[in-house]
Formats: sequence, structure tokens, C-alpha cells
Amino acid sequence: MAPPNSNWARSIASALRKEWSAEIRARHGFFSATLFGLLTVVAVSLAGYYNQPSGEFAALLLVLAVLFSVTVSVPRVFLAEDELGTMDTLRVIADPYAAYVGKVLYSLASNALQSILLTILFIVFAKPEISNYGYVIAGPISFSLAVASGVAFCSALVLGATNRWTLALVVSLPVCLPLVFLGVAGIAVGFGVGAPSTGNGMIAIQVLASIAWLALGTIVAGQLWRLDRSP
Amino acid sequence: MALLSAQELGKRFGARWLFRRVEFDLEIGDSLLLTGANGSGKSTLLRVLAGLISPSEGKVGRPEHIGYAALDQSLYPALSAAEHLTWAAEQRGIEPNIDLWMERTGLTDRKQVVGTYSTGMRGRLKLALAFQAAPSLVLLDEPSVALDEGGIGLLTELLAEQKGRGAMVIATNNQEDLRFGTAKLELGT
Repeated sequence: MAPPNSNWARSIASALRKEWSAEIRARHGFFSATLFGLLTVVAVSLAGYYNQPSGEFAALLLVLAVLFSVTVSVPRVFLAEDELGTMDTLRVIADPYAAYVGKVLYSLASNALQSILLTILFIVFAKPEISNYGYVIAGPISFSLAVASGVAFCSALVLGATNRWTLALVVSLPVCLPLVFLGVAGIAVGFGVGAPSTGNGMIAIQVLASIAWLALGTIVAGQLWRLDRSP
Repeated sequence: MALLSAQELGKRFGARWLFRRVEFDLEIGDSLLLTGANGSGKSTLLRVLAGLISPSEGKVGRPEHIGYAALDQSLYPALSAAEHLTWAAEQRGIEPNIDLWMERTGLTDRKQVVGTYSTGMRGRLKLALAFQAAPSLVLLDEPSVALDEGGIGLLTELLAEQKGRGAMVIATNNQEDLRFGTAKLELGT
């Protein structure tokens, strides 16, 4: 539990630093998710190899690539802790709220980075017609932030359950589905479909959703991860 | 007021009670040894006392901050001992005193990651993490297993310091550890 004299911002920064060091050095989490996303990009690009994809189709393909990448990487950040057996160490030492926020911030940063990388690769491989690069870059980033914070919330909920990986993905489904529609509508503006006001609205909703999931997840995870308080 | 109090504590898995009606109070200077055969519930009782799992019945009263080290507890394989200690200190809002703890534990290579540590080296780091914040209550599960002579020396030192500062509970079946206790609770009898 958080010591009374602790600085919350310091605790979060420390949790984020620990996540970053552990994940980047272990490599398999970040790189397997990026590789998975890359393979998705190549596969979906091949689907439109002979015909340039339409704006909406291109947006859908890009959203799917980012979605797959996020749903592989985010649950791992949470469930790896449980599977490595470090959950007890985390719970007796760390402020649960700071630990959760640190994990989510790491997930948001790494997924934003991955979404940029995947977008560039998608543009190179699928060669879609682009009318506004701003939406093509900002759309996948905001989509990845919203999905990452939503999936993080679901992953934190199922810590300790049996079949955690499967359960995390199943619970994430209702969270991700509405975001897919928002993501496609936001990115499609960059491919010449829809008005800029629509794109701005969709991106804003996704950023707000990301903040809402983060706030809700912090409260829930903090309560679930705290040391038991007997009645 | 007791530092650690267990009232009518019980834990069951399915229909089988592992232990029931466990009661004790620990004050400063008290050191309770939990002993008993394999499967008698020593580690489970320690986890209940630490708040890592809930009891099936009864209540535990413990301080806000505890030190905890267990044989089956894992550390982060990609982080070094210094990084573990820094992270733990920042989470607890205390000074990390890395040099002091590295010297005391004998884990002098700051860059070596825990994934390359032996079981004994991990045991030393777990002790450092448990005692770093000078908690008023320390819970240890088989603390001397896999420790060499130097490690046992470190454990003896830390437990002696703890006696003047707070209370401790040690789950063990090692006859050598019995000297650390002021009271004994045998489970499974």
C-alpha cells in the first residue's frame, strides 16, 4: 500500500521506469507484438495487392493491424506479472494505484509507437491514396490509446483468474468493438472519406475514452490489488 | 496494541480446512515460528497474515507496511538488484541506501540482472527487500533455505535488528532456525 509520506508522481514514475526496463530488456513482449502487427500489415496489404484499397477499406485494414498488435501486447504486460510469480512482490511493495498507472502508461507509450510504425509500413505496403496525413497518423495513435487503456482495464480485472489470457481477450471484446467503428471513421478521413469534423470528433472521443478507461481502471485495479483488509 | 493479531483465523480449500482457530498477538520483540509437516499450511498462513490471500474465517490485524520474503516469491529477472532496491524504495517513499544494501547482501555487481542469480543470491535480495524499509512487522517463509554461510550471517543480523524494532513470523522446518523464535506454533497437530 502507498506509504503515507510517498509522492504519488514519484511512485508512478518509478513504476513506469520498472515496466520500461523489464519489458524492453525482456524484448519478447514489445517485439512479438510489433512482429505480429507487421505480419498483419503485410497480410492485409497482400489482400489489396492488385487493387488499391478504398478509403474505408484501407482504414479498416489499418485498424485491424493496430488492434491485433494492441490485444497481443497489453494483456501480456499485466498477466506476465502473474505468470512470472512476481505479483506477490508487486503487491507487498508497490502502491497498487501507481503500479497500475505505470503499467498503463508503458502500454500506451509502446502501443502509440507501434501504431506509428505499423501505419508507416501500411502506407509503404498497401499504397492507399492519402488525402490528409494528419488523420492517418493521429487516427491510429488515438485508436491504439483507447484500445490499450480499455484492454488494460480488462486485463487488470482478470488477474488471478484461471485461463487469464483467454478471459482477458473475451472480456476485452465488448470494449474493443465500438472503438473499431470510431477508429475506422477517424482514420478514413485521412483516406478521403468523411469530413474533417467527423475525424476530429472520432479522435477526440477515443482520447476521452482512453482517459476514462485509465481513471476507471486505476480505481478498480487499486481496490483489487491492495492487500487484503480483514473485516 | 498488538503489532500483529490473528483472531479465530481459518483457511480452507474446498471442504478441507488447512487450519482453523489460529489465534495470537505479537508485540515488539516477539518472534513467532510456524512449524509443521509439508502441507500443514505454514506458507498459506503466512500469506493470509501478509494479506496476499483472504482467510476463510477470522480476522488479521497488521500494520500498513510489512516486510515479506518467501521461497516461492519471484523477482523481476530483467532487473538488477540495485534496480529492485531503487524501485522498492521509491514505491515506499524511503531512501534506497543502495550502497549499504549491496554491501550487506554481498551482491556487488550492480549491472548483473536477477535472471542470472543463483537461488541463494535471490534469497539475499529478497531479505534486503523485506528489511529495506525497516518495517515493524516481517513475515518470512523458509528464509534460510539455499543461503550459504554468509547469507545465514546476514539473516541472523537482520533478525537481531528486527527484534529491537518490531515483530516477526517465520515459517520454517529448519532446526537451525528455531533459535530465532521466542514462541512456536505448530500447524497440523
